[in-house]
Amino acid sequence: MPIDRTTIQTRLKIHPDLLSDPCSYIKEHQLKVRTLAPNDGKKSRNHTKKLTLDVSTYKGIRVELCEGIHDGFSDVKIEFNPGVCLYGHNGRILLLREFVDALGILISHLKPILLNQDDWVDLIPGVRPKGVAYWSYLELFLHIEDPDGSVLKGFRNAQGRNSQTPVRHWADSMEIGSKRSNIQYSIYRKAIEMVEHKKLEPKQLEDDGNILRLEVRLKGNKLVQYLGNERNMEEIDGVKRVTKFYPHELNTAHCASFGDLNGVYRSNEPLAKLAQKEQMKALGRLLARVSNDPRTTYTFLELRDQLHFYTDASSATLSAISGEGLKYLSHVSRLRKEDLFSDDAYRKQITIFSEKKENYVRHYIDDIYSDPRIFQAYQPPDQRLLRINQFPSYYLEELT
Amino acid sequence: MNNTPAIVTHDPMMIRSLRITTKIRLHPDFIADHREFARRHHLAPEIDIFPVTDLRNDPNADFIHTTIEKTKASILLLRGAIRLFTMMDSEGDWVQSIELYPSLLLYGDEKHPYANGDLQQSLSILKEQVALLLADSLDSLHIVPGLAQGKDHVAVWSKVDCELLMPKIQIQCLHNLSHPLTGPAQGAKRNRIQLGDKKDDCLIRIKVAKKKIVGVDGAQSVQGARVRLILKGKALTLEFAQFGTIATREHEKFLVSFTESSIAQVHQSVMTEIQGTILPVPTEWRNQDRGKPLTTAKVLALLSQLTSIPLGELMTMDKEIRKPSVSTTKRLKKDVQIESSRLSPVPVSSLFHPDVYSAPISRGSSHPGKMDAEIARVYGMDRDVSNLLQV
Repeated sequence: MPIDRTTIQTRLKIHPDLLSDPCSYIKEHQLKVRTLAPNDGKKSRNHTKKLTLDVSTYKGIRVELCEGIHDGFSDVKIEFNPGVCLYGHNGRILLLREFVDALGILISHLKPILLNQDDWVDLIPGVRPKGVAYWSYLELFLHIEDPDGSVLKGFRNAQGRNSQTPVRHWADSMEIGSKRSNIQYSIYRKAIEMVEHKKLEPKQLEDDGNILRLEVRLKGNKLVQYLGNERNMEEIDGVKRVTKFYPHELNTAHCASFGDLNGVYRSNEPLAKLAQKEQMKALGRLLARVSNDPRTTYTFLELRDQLHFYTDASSATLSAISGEGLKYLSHVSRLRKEDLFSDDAYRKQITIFSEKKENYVRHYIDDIYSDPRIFQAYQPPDQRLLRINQFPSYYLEELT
Repeated sequence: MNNTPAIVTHDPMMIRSLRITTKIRLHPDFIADHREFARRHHLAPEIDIFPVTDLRNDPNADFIHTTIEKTKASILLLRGAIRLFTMMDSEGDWVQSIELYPSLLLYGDEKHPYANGDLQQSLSILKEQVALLLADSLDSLHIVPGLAQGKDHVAVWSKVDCELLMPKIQIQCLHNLSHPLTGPAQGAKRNRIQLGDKKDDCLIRIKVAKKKIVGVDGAQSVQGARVRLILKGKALTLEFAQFGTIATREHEKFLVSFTESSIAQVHQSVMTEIQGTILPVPTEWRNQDRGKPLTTAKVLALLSQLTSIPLGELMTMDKEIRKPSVSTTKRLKKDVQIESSRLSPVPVSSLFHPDVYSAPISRGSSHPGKMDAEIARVYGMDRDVSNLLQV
């Protein structure tokens, strides 16, 4: 399950003692809370009091509780990174069993803050039918080898559907779309990023330095559009929300979202011969060809924007230039969508191990809450869980 | 807080924020009940505290669930114009760093241009306000760097964030920017070019600016670019070395004082090292009456400036795509020469000449409150620096 950061939105009755005196409550119940930050709400728009907890010794779970405003229920936002929860980093591709373990850890850490312990079913979306919990944000990714940088380079001229914004690019990474929008793509060398954040030893770049992460960040209507289907959505407060998913659905959503980028993948459609009067289309091809040249730092869309700025060309002219330019880029591209996002590519993608981080993360087996309803929500009926031949590294059998 | 806008007579320079690293203990009564403390000591009531409690396992404890509790807090004074960042230990709550927003403090606007004496005035207010919160009044010497005598420099400068507003500069005209301290610009957005990263010691950010400012002829709308420079760590010490006072502490160099005019000097000194070009839009291209706005000749001329592909090669590419006739090619060659002659790139560094950084503006009216004599002595003496400005 190639899943990175996630956000769960839900509504719960929080123990009033936690809200009134968080420090004492945490100490009294020996909760594994790393930091707590109360906010009296004076500076916020609706003056709602909030309490933010970083839960779990190893990071990966952060909870924001808003003071009860719906009959004693609090709006709860849970930022949950299953990979960080289990391994201290997000370079691994999780197995379904590991993802379920991470959910179990989340439950055991957050159950003690609830007024009624049985309400844990509303901590995890999809566990309770017609529940109030849903996935509001998901990061999905694919790891591929890119030793010569051709894949990273191939995305330089990408254009999101219905977007005119140029890609933001750095030496080893790029972003398509803004953080504020409901879909954003991020493509970067994962091992290099992990070294920069001190999650990986630099010597590991020898083996893992070529790994490129193709990541998509989904929320709001885009999350529903790409991941939602009849089985995994429910209407909550009048809005369709994603409440559960199977592993293969994540891959399908990832593939579909990346497939919607223009100017990246090889098209088999032949380039039409241009008529003499089709001057703007010719300029489109010229701009595209220049953007692919190593002697320019500008992407195709950036060159188009420069043209607009310097000549004040009309939107019709720019549209003709863009359309033909993107067609040309697709014609000359070496990236094939069906190869990049094949079933094999998802199945055999490379995981990044980090001894540096993984050696420090241990969860008592008793702390990993288990319930068949969690499996029902996330395990496809025709898929068996892999047998465990050895304990995962994050298991700790007994108190020492 | 004085909200009288200053009179702008040139490109306005702003001090966005300053950061001090120090270690001074807060009064325990303030921590226990800051509102009561403020009332009792007649402090300005706008105090906000945002605590974060850190609960970590004690590795030395006998019991596995023994935790060490540490509270960090952000304390905002005077509507956030002064921010104290504190950490608690067994002896009390210690201010570890202070952020000061001089323009916000004096004018209620973080982006207000600074006037003569603003630095000393804002540091005086900072010292006055924070001194009231301390456990030991002698620690007031360690609020603002440079005031402690001898070698005991507890307080040092750790960040200077300043900005120059340059009217009439359009960032789309800036190309291929790079700087020795940061490397090339990367990750540009439509309204922003950035050199360096937040984690680097030097960050340069050039952003589209639209602002209403008060000029000699009254209020006017200004469109241009904000050129922001954030220096910290080694870059801060290096760039301020000739304009300020550097002290050594445990074999490491720190900036402990500087004059108001040195902020502009450092900004200019750093910016004159910026590489890249500014390519203005030719007047002829703005004039729509002179034919089609977009022609192949213009595009080829422009591309030869934006890339390092020679013009001849670009023309060959165009020929391969369009297959023009001989006469079209001949005409194009002539037109390209004309359009190329209209594009006049100049080095970006030339924008930052000394005239842009001329004398700070005069304040419309004086800010209430006395200037601290010691601060005026340490921060108020401007050297004759005209010969230090780079031309």
